Amino acid sequence: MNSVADMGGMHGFGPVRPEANEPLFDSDWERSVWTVGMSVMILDYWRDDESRYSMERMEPAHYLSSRYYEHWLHFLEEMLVEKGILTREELAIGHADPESHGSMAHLARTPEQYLAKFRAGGSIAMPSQSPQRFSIGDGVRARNLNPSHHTRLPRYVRGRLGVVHAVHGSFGFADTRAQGTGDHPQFLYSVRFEAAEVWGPTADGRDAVYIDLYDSYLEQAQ
Amino acid sequence: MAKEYTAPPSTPAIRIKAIQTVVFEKGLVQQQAVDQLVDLVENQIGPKNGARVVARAWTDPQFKQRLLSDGTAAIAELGFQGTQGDHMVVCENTPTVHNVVVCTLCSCYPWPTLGLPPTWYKSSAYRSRVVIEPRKVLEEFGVNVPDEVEVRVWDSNSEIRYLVLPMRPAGTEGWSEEQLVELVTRDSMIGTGPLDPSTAGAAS
Repeated sequence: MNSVADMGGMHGFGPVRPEANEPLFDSDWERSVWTVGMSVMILDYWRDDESRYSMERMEPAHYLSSRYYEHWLHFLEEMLVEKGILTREELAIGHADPESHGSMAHLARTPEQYLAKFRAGGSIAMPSQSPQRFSIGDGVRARNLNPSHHTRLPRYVRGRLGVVHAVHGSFGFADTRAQGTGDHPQFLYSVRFEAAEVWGPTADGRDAVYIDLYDSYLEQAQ
Repeated sequence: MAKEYTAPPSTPAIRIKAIQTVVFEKGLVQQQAVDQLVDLVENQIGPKNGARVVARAWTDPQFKQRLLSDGTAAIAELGFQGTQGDHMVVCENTPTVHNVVVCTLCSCYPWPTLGLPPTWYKSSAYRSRVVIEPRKVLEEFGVNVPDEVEVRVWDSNSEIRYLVLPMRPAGTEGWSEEQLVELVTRDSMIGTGPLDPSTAGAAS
Protein backbone atom coordinates (compact mmCIF):
# COMPACT_ATOMS: atom_id res chain seq x y z
CA MET A 1 0.00 0.00 0.00
CA ASN A 2 1.39 3.42 -0.93
CA SER A 3 0.63 4.69 2.54
CA VAL A 4 2.01 7.55 4.59
CA ALA A 5 3.81 4.88 6.62
CA ASP A 6 6.04 4.17 3.60
CA MET A 7 8.20 7.16 4.34
CA GLY A 8 11.75 6.12 3.47
CA GLY A 9 13.35 9.01 1.58
CA MET A 10 10.71 11.63 2.36
CA HIS A 11 11.92 15.16 3.07
CA GLY A 12 10.65 17.73 5.50
CA PHE A 13 10.45 15.90 8.81
CA GLY A 14 13.20 17.91 10.42
CA PRO A 15 15.98 16.86 12.76
CA VAL A 16 15.96 13.59 14.66
CA ARG A 17 15.48 14.51 18.32
CA PRO A 18 16.85 11.92 20.72
CA GLU A 19 15.85 12.49 24.33
CA ALA A 20 18.60 11.89 26.85
CA ASN A 21 17.70 9.23 29.42
CA GLU A 22 14.30 8.75 27.89
CA PRO A 23 12.05 6.59 30.10
CA LEU A 24 10.84 3.30 28.70
CA PHE A 25 7.32 4.72 28.56
CA ASP A 26 6.38 8.40 28.60
CA SER A 27 3.14 7.79 30.46
CA ASP A 28 1.10 5.13 32.22
CA TRP A 29 -1.29 4.82 29.31
CA GLU A 30 1.58 4.02 26.93
CA ARG A 31 2.86 1.31 29.28
CA SER A 32 -0.65 -0.10 29.37
CA VAL A 33 -0.91 -0.08 25.58
CA TRP A 34 2.23 -2.19 25.30
CA THR A 35 1.51 -4.56 28.18
CA VAL A 36 -2.22 -5.03 27.60
CA GLY A 37 -1.67 -5.06 23.85
CA MET A 38 0.99 -7.72 24.16
CA SER A 39 -1.19 -9.71 26.57
CA VAL A 40 -3.59 -10.28 23.70
CA MET A 41 -1.11 -10.28 20.81
CA ILE A 42 1.07 -12.98 22.36
CA LEU A 43 -1.99 -15.24 22.20
CA ASP A 44 -1.79 -15.15 18.40
CA TYR A 45 -5.29 -14.03 17.53
CA TRP A 46 -3.86 -12.17 14.57
CA ARG A 47 -0.60 -11.78 12.68
CA ASP A 48 1.83 -8.88 13.01
CA ASP A 49 1.27 -8.35 9.27
CA GLU A 50 -2.38 -7.59 9.98
CA SER A 51 -1.44 -5.09 12.70
CA ARG A 52 0.94 -3.33 10.35
CA TYR A 53 -1.63 -3.19 7.56
CA SER A 54 -4.13 -1.74 10.02
CA MET A 55 -1.75 1.05 11.06
CA GLU A 56 -1.01 1.87 7.43
CA ARG A 57 -4.69 2.53 6.89
CA MET A 58 -4.93 5.16 9.62
CA GLU A 59 -6.01 8.54 8.35
CA PRO A 60 -2.67 9.88 7.07
CA ALA A 61 -2.68 13.22 8.91
CA HIS A 62 -3.59 11.43 12.14
CA TYR A 63 -0.86 8.86 11.60
CA LEU A 64 1.72 11.62 11.31
CA SER A 65 0.46 13.78 14.17
CA SER A 66 -0.36 11.15 16.77
CA ARG A 67 1.92 9.53 19.30
CA TYR A 68 3.38 6.13 18.39
CA TYR A 69 1.24 4.16 20.83
CA GLU A 70 -1.88 5.71 19.34
CA HIS A 71 -0.96 3.68 16.24
CA TRP A 72 -1.10 0.61 18.47
CA LEU A 73 -4.48 1.68 19.84
CA HIS A 74 -5.77 1.94 16.28
CA PHE A 75 -4.82 -1.62 15.37
CA LEU A 76 -5.71 -3.05 18.76
CA GLU A 77 -9.25 -1.73 18.52
CA GLU A 78 -9.58 -2.84 14.90
CA MET A 79 -8.14 -6.32 15.42
CA LEU A 80 -9.95 -7.03 18.68
CA VAL A 81 -13.27 -6.24 16.99
CA GLU A 82 -12.42 -7.99 13.72
CA LYS A 83 -11.36 -11.18 15.49
CA GLY A 84 -14.52 -11.19 17.60
CA ILE A 85 -12.83 -10.73 20.95
CA LEU A 86 -14.90 -7.68 21.77
CA THR A 87 -17.33 -5.28 20.12
CA ARG A 88 -17.29 -1.59 19.27
CA GLU A 89 -20.13 -1.14 21.75
CA GLU A 90 -18.08 -2.70 24.53
CA LEU A 91 -15.16 -0.42 23.70
CA ALA A 92 -17.43 2.62 23.73
CA ILE A 93 -18.98 1.71 27.06
CA GLY A 94 -15.65 0.54 28.52
CA HIS A 95 -17.13 -2.68 29.88
CA ALA A 96 -17.81 -6.16 28.60
CA ASP A 97 -21.37 -7.15 27.84
CA PRO A 98 -22.48 -8.62 31.19
CA GLU A 99 -23.53 -11.83 29.43
CA SER A 100 -19.91 -12.30 28.30
CA HIS A 101 -18.27 -11.89 31.67
CA GLY A 102 -15.82 -14.73 32.18
CA SER A 103 -16.71 -16.21 28.78
CA MET A 104 -13.07 -16.32 27.65
CA ALA A 105 -11.56 -17.42 30.95
CA HIS A 106 -10.78 -20.86 29.53
CA LEU A 107 -8.44 -19.16 27.04
CA ALA A 108 -6.46 -17.26 29.66
CA ARG A 109 -2.79 -18.07 30.09
CA THR A 110 -0.65 -17.97 33.22
CA PRO A 111 2.29 -15.60 33.65
CA GLU A 112 4.65 -18.56 33.14
CA GLN A 113 2.97 -19.41 29.87
CA TYR A 114 3.33 -15.82 28.76
CA LEU A 115 7.04 -15.87 29.52
CA ALA A 116 7.46 -19.17 27.72
CA LYS A 117 5.63 -17.84 24.70
CA PHE A 118 7.76 -14.71 24.63
CA ARG A 119 10.93 -16.80 24.72
CA ALA A 120 9.64 -19.18 22.05
CA GLY A 121 8.97 -16.20 19.77
CA GLY A 122 6.80 -16.08 16.70
CA SER A 123 8.92 -17.13 13.75
CA ILE A 124 7.15 -17.25 10.41
CA ALA A 125 9.96 -19.12 8.70
CA MET A 126 8.36 -22.03 6.86
CA PRO A 127 9.15 -24.28 3.89
CA SER A 128 8.15 -23.06 0.46
CA GLN A 129 6.79 -24.79 -2.61
CA SER A 130 7.99 -21.88 -4.71
CA PRO A 131 11.54 -22.10 -6.02
CA GLN A 132 14.49 -20.06 -4.86
CA ARG A 133 15.00 -18.05 -8.04
CA PHE A 134 18.07 -16.08 -6.96
CA SER A 135 21.44 -16.71 -5.38
CA ILE A 136 24.08 -14.59 -3.68
CA GLY A 137 25.72 -12.26 -6.20
CA ASP A 138 22.80 -12.22 -8.63
CA GLY A 139 21.82 -8.87 -10.09
CA VAL A 140 18.14 -8.23 -9.44
CA ARG A 141 15.64 -5.46 -10.05
CA ALA A 142 12.95 -4.65 -7.51
CA ARG A 143 9.70 -4.75 -9.43
CA ASN A 144 7.53 -1.69 -9.83
CA LEU A 145 4.59 -3.02 -7.86
CA ASN A 146 2.03 -0.63 -6.40
CA PRO A 147 -0.56 -2.80 -4.69
CA SER A 148 -3.23 -1.12 -2.60
CA HIS A 149 -2.84 -3.93 -0.07
CA HIS A 150 -0.08 -4.38 2.48
CA THR A 151 3.36 -4.97 1.07
CA ARG A 152 6.88 -4.77 2.45
CA LEU A 153 8.33 -3.44 -0.81
CA PRO A 154 8.80 0.26 -0.11
CA ARG A 155 8.44 2.86 -2.86
CA TYR A 156 12.06 3.95 -2.64
CA VAL A 157 13.48 0.70 -4.11
CA ARG A 158 10.86 -0.09 -6.74
CA GLY A 159 12.46 -0.35 -10.17
CA ARG A 160 15.98 -0.17 -8.75
CA LEU A 161 18.87 -2.53 -9.52
CA GLY A 162 20.57 -4.34 -6.68
CA VAL A 163 22.68 -7.38 -5.87
CA VAL A 164 21.64 -10.32 -3.72
CA HIS A 165 23.76 -10.18 -0.57
CA ALA A 166 22.23 -13.11 1.36
CA VAL A 167 19.46 -15.68 1.16
CA HIS A 168 17.46 -15.71 4.39
CA GLY A 169 15.44 -18.82 3.63
CA SER A 170 11.69 -19.02 3.14
CA PHE A 171 9.10 -17.13 5.15
CA GLY A 172 5.37 -16.58 5.20
CA PHE A 173 4.53 -13.86 2.68
CA ALA A 174 3.62 -10.58 4.38
CA ASP A 175 1.31 -9.38 1.60
CA THR A 176 -1.07 -12.35 1.84
CA ARG A 177 -0.72 -12.86 5.59
CA ALA A 178 -1.86 -9.28 6.13
CA GLN A 179 -5.03 -9.89 4.13
CA GLY A 180 -5.77 -13.23 5.73
CA THR A 181 -5.39 -15.01 2.39
CA GLY A 182 -2.77 -17.49 3.49
CA ASP A 183 0.94 -17.85 4.25
CA HIS A 184 2.15 -18.54 0.68
CA PRO A 185 5.76 -18.81 1.84
CA GLN A 186 8.53 -17.78 -0.49
CA PHE A 187 12.22 -17.11 -0.36
CA LEU A 188 13.46 -13.90 1.20
CA TYR A 189 16.69 -12.19 0.17
CA SER A 190 18.87 -9.46 1.57
CA VAL A 191 19.54 -7.16 -1.39
CA ARG A 192 22.16 -4.43 -1.55
CA PHE A 193 21.35 -1.24 -3.45
CA GLU A 194 24.01 1.40 -4.07
CA ALA A 195 22.86 4.75 -2.68
CA ALA A 196 23.37 6.48 -6.03
CA GLU A 197 21.15 3.89 -7.73
CA VAL A 198 18.34 4.51 -5.26
CA TRP A 199 18.61 8.26 -4.75
CA GLY A 200 20.43 9.62 -7.79
CA PRO A 201 23.46 11.88 -8.10
CA THR A 202 22.99 13.72 -4.79
CA ALA A 203 23.53 10.51 -2.84
CA ASP A 204 26.85 9.70 -1.24
CA GLY A 205 28.47 7.32 -3.70
CA ARG A 206 30.20 5.35 -0.96
CA ASP A 207 27.01 4.22 0.73
CA ALA A 208 24.43 1.48 0.29
CA VAL A 209 20.99 0.39 1.48
CA TYR A 210 20.32 -3.23 2.39
CA ILE A 211 16.72 -4.38 2.40
CA ASP A 212 14.95 -7.73 2.66
CA LEU A 213 12.88 -8.56 -0.40
CA TYR A 214 10.66 -11.53 -1.14
CA ASP A 215 11.23 -13.56 -4.31
CA SER A 216 8.06 -12.19 -5.93
CA TYR A 217 9.22 -8.60 -5.41
CA LEU A 218 12.23 -9.28 -7.66
CA GLU A 219 13.02 -9.92 -11.28
CA GLN A 220 16.29 -10.79 -12.90
CA ALA A 221 18.38 -7.76 -13.79
CA GLN A 222 18.78 -7.49 -17.55
CA MET B 1 -36.08 19.22 18.98
CA ALA B 2 -33.16 17.62 20.74
CA LYS B 3 -29.83 18.67 19.43
CA GLU B 4 -27.59 15.81 18.41
CA TYR B 5 -25.06 15.22 21.15
CA THR B 6 -21.48 14.78 20.04
CA ALA B 7 -19.42 12.85 22.52
CA PRO B 8 -15.95 14.27 23.15
CA PRO B 9 -13.14 12.28 21.54
CA SER B 10 -11.78 9.55 23.67
CA THR B 11 -8.30 10.11 24.95
CA PRO B 12 -5.75 7.35 24.51
CA ALA B 13 -5.84 6.71 28.26
CA ILE B 14 -9.56 6.13 28.14
CA ARG B 15 -9.24 3.89 25.09
CA ILE B 16 -6.65 1.57 26.61
CA LYS B 17 -8.54 1.50 29.89
CA ALA B 18 -11.59 0.32 27.97
CA ILE B 19 -9.64 -2.45 26.23
CA GLN B 20 -8.07 -3.55 29.51
CA THR B 21 -11.38 -3.57 31.38
CA VAL B 22 -13.18 -5.52 28.69
CA VAL B 23 -10.52 -8.23 28.26
CA PHE B 24 -10.22 -8.56 32.03
CA GLU B 25 -14.00 -8.84 32.45
CA LYS B 26 -14.16 -11.51 29.77
CA GLY B 27 -11.46 -13.41 31.63
CA LEU B 28 -9.15 -13.51 28.62
CA VAL B 29 -6.34 -11.75 30.44
CA GLN B 30 -5.59 -11.62 34.15
CA GLN B 31 -3.74 -8.95 36.09
CA GLN B 32 -0.86 -11.34 36.90
CA ALA B 33 -0.21 -11.81 33.20
CA VAL B 34 0.00 -8.06 32.67
CA ASP B 35 2.28 -7.74 35.70
CA GLN B 36 4.54 -10.41 34.20
CA LEU B 37 4.75 -8.46 30.96
CA VAL B 38 5.61 -5.30 32.90
CA ASP B 39 8.47 -7.18 34.57
CA LEU B 40 9.58 -8.59 31.23
CA VAL B 41 9.72 -5.24 29.46
CA GLU B 42 11.21 -3.30 32.36
CA ASN B 43 13.69 -5.81 33.74
CA GLN B 44 14.32 -8.79 31.49
CA ILE B 45 14.79 -7.31 28.03
CA GLY B 46 16.92 -4.31 27.29
CA PRO B 47 20.25 -3.13 25.82
CA LYS B 48 22.24 -4.74 28.63
CA ASN B 49 21.49 -8.04 26.85
CA GLY B 50 22.87 -6.75 23.57
CA ALA B 51 25.88 -5.34 25.40
CA ARG B 52 26.65 -8.83 26.74
CA VAL B 53 26.50 -10.22 23.22
CA VAL B 54 28.92 -7.53 22.04
CA ALA B 55 31.32 -7.97 24.95
CA ARG B 56 31.36 -11.73 24.41
CA ALA B 57 32.12 -11.21 20.72
CA TRP B 58 34.97 -8.87 21.58
CA THR B 59 36.62 -11.36 23.94
CA ASP B 60 35.81 -14.68 22.25
CA PRO B 61 36.79 -14.82 18.54
CA GLN B 62 34.97 -18.10 17.97
CA PHE B 63 31.77 -16.75 19.44
CA LYS B 64 32.18 -13.73 17.18
CA GLN B 65 32.44 -15.99 14.14
CA ARG B 66 29.31 -17.87 15.18
CA LEU B 67 27.56 -14.55 15.84
CA LEU B 68 28.35 -13.26 12.36
CA SER B 69 27.43 -16.49 10.58
CA ASP B 70 24.26 -17.31 12.55
CA GLY B 71 23.23 -14.47 14.81
CA THR B 72 20.05 -16.18 15.98
CA ALA B 73 21.84 -19.28 17.30
CA ALA B 74 24.74 -17.39 18.86
CA ILE B 75 22.46 -14.94 20.67
CA ALA B 76 20.37 -17.89 21.88
CA GLU B 77 23.54 -19.34 23.47
CA LEU B 78 23.34 -16.39 25.89
CA GLY B 79 19.61 -16.90 26.42
CA PHE B 80 18.51 -13.76 24.59
CA GLN B 81 16.13 -15.35 22.12
CA GLY B 82 12.48 -14.38 21.90
CA THR B 83 9.70 -12.41 20.28
CA GLN B 84 10.95 -9.87 17.74
CA GLY B 85 14.36 -11.54 17.84
CA ASP B 86 13.33 -14.70 16.02
CA HIS B 87 15.80 -14.16 13.21
CA MET B 88 18.86 -12.11 14.04
CA VAL B 89 21.56 -10.81 11.71
CA VAL B 90 24.55 -9.11 13.27
CA CYS B 91 26.39 -6.50 11.20
CA GLU B 92 29.98 -5.86 12.12
CA ASN B 93 31.44 -2.36 12.05
CA THR B 94 34.99 -2.32 10.67
CA PRO B 95 37.53 0.37 9.81
CA THR B 96 35.89 0.58 6.37
CA VAL B 97 32.21 -0.18 7.07
CA HIS B 98 29.74 1.53 9.41
CA ASN B 99 26.29 -0.03 9.81
CA VAL B 100 23.07 1.66 10.89
CA VAL B 101 19.62 0.10 11.30
CA VAL B 102 16.14 1.48 10.70
CA CYS B 103 12.61 0.33 9.98
CA THR B 104 11.31 2.83 7.42
CA LEU B 105 7.86 1.23 7.27
CA CYS B 106 7.07 0.98 10.97
CA SER B 107 9.26 0.31 14.04
CA CYS B 108 10.72 -3.20 13.80
CA TYR B 109 13.51 -3.59 16.34
CA PRO B 110 15.21 -6.53 18.13
CA TRP B 111 13.36 -6.54 21.45
CA PRO B 112 15.14 -9.37 23.29
CA THR B 113 18.61 -7.83 22.83
CA LEU B 114 17.78 -4.12 22.85
CA GLY B 115 14.42 -3.83 24.61
CA LEU B 116 11.82 -1.47 23.16
CA PRO B 117 12.98 1.14 20.67
CA PRO B 118 13.45 4.77 21.69
CA THR B 119 10.95 7.33 20.44
CA TRP B 120 13.44 8.78 17.97
CA TYR B 121 13.85 5.41 16.22
CA LYS B 122 10.09 5.31 15.60
CA SER B 123 9.90 8.96 14.53
CA SER B 124 9.04 10.12 11.02
CA ALA B 125 12.29 12.09 10.99
CA TYR B 126 14.52 9.05 11.54
CA ARG B 127 12.50 6.63 9.43
CA SER B 128 12.43 8.96 6.44
CA ARG B 129 15.92 10.46 6.62
CA VAL B 130 18.46 7.85 7.68
CA VAL B 131 17.90 5.78 4.55
CA ILE B 132 18.47 8.74 2.17
CA GLU B 133 20.99 10.88 4.10
CA PRO B 134 22.60 8.61 6.68
CA ARG B 135 25.75 10.67 7.13
CA LYS B 136 23.77 13.81 7.94
CA VAL B 137 21.64 11.91 10.46
CA LEU B 138 24.72 10.29 12.01
CA GLU B 139 26.35 13.72 12.34
CA GLU B 140 23.30 14.86 14.31
CA PHE B 141 24.02 11.94 16.65
CA GLY B 142 27.63 13.02 16.96
CA VAL B 143 28.90 10.17 14.80
CA ASN B 144 31.32 11.49 12.21
CA VAL B 145 31.97 8.90 9.55
CA PRO B 146 35.46 9.18 8.02
CA ASP B 147 35.93 9.51 4.28
CA GLU B 148 37.21 5.99 3.79
CA VAL B 149 34.22 4.39 5.50
CA GLU B 150 31.17 3.05 3.67
CA VAL B 151 27.82 3.50 5.42
CA ARG B 152 25.36 0.61 5.13
CA VAL B 153 21.78 1.32 6.08
CA TRP B 154 19.79 -1.82 6.94
CA ASP B 155 16.03 -1.40 6.53
CA SER B 156 14.32 -3.95 8.79
CA ASN B 157 11.32 -4.48 6.54
CA SER B 158 10.97 -8.24 7.10
CA GLU B 159 11.05 -10.56 10.12
CA ILE B 160 14.84 -10.34 10.19
CA ARG B 161 16.10 -8.13 13.03
CA TYR B 162 19.45 -6.40 12.87
CA LEU B 163 22.02 -5.71 15.57
CA VAL B 164 25.20 -3.72 14.97
CA LEU B 165 28.44 -5.08 16.41
CA PRO B 166 30.46 -1.94 17.16
CA MET B 167 34.25 -1.96 17.02
CA ARG B 168 36.05 -2.61 20.26
CA PRO B 169 37.59 0.65 21.45
CA ALA B 170 41.33 1.03 21.61
CA GLY B 171 42.94 0.88 25.03
CA THR B 172 40.74 -1.93 26.35
CA GLU B 173 43.22 -4.74 25.92
CA GLY B 174 43.02 -7.19 28.80
CA TRP B 175 39.65 -5.87 30.00
CA SER B 176 37.21 -8.44 31.31
CA GLU B 177 33.84 -9.07 29.69
CA GLU B 178 32.15 -7.36 32.65
CA GLN B 179 34.21 -4.23 32.15
CA LEU B 180 33.57 -4.22 28.41
CA VAL B 181 29.78 -4.61 28.85
CA GLU B 182 29.74 -1.18 30.51
CA LEU B 183 31.21 0.41 27.39
CA VAL B 184 28.51 -0.72 24.97
CA THR B 185 25.73 1.83 24.50
CA ARG B 186 22.29 1.11 23.09
CA ASP B 187 22.83 3.57 20.27
CA SER B 188 26.08 1.90 19.21
CA MET B 189 24.11 -1.32 18.58
CA ILE B 190 21.67 0.55 16.35
CA GLY B 191 24.55 2.31 14.62
CA THR B 192 23.78 5.85 15.75
CA GLY B 193 26.15 6.03 18.66
CA PRO B 194 29.83 5.82 19.26
CA LEU B 195 30.91 3.87 22.27
CA ASP B 196 30.83 5.71 25.53
CA PRO B 197 34.37 7.03 25.81
CA SER B 198 33.77 8.53 29.23
CA THR B 199 33.93 5.15 30.90
CA ALA B 200 37.16 4.15 29.20
CA GLY B 201 39.78 3.71 31.88
CA ALA B 202 37.18 4.10 34.65
CA ALA B 203 37.10 0.37 35.38
CA SER B 204 40.11 -1.06 37.18
